[in-house]
Amino acid sequence: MHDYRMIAIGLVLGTIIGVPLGNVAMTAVPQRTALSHAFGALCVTLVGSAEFYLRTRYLAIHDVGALA
Amino acid sequence: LCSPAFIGFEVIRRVSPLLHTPLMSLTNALDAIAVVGAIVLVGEHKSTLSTVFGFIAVVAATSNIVGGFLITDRMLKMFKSSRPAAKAAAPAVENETAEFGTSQIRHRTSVSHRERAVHTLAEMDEFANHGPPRHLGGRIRHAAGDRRHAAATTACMTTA
Repeated sequence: MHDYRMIAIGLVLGTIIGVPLGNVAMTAVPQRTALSHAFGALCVTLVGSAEFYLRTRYLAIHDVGALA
Repeated sequence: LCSPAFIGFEVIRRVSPLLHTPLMSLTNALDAIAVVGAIVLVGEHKSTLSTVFGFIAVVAATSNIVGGFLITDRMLKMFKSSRPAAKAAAPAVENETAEFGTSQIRHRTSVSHRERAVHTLAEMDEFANHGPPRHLGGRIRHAAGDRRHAAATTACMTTA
């Protein structure tokens, strides 16, 4: 139950950040898109790092290489 | 590995340069599908580090989804709102053709179907001899539209 709450809090917090990001001025769209790309990269990096941290011990060496 | 690249290129290739900015924005929003991995990571709760990482990842990806779709919708709405401006430019063309007389106006063939409803009555008057063209059949039944433009059409007929 605690984990579901963490997911829900994350979704709500992301929505709270995302609404002002969706209402920026039209002249600021390129910067906003770049920032959004950075967020996406952060997300992917964190997921990949955590998966690497969790699963390295249980995987064959070539799987670790693919994950890295 | 090659097939997704081919599909992606084929999807992107035909998009007009005008729509590149919304396309980039929407692609960025779709990029946040990684939120699935982040949610799995938080839900597993295998270690504190992975949970914290997953939480930050969920926040970042969700802000991407919400903001990306919102701003793409705003941009595409701007494209829609530019259509009435094109409609407003139509009367200018009509005045130009008025120089040649109203008979010329009645014989317009280069007007889109949507604009055709404006002169339905005048065209019906003209088509009394020979039946109306088939593509006008649906438009004539729009009684409300006829009444709305009745003044304009009668004015057009009295000048003739």
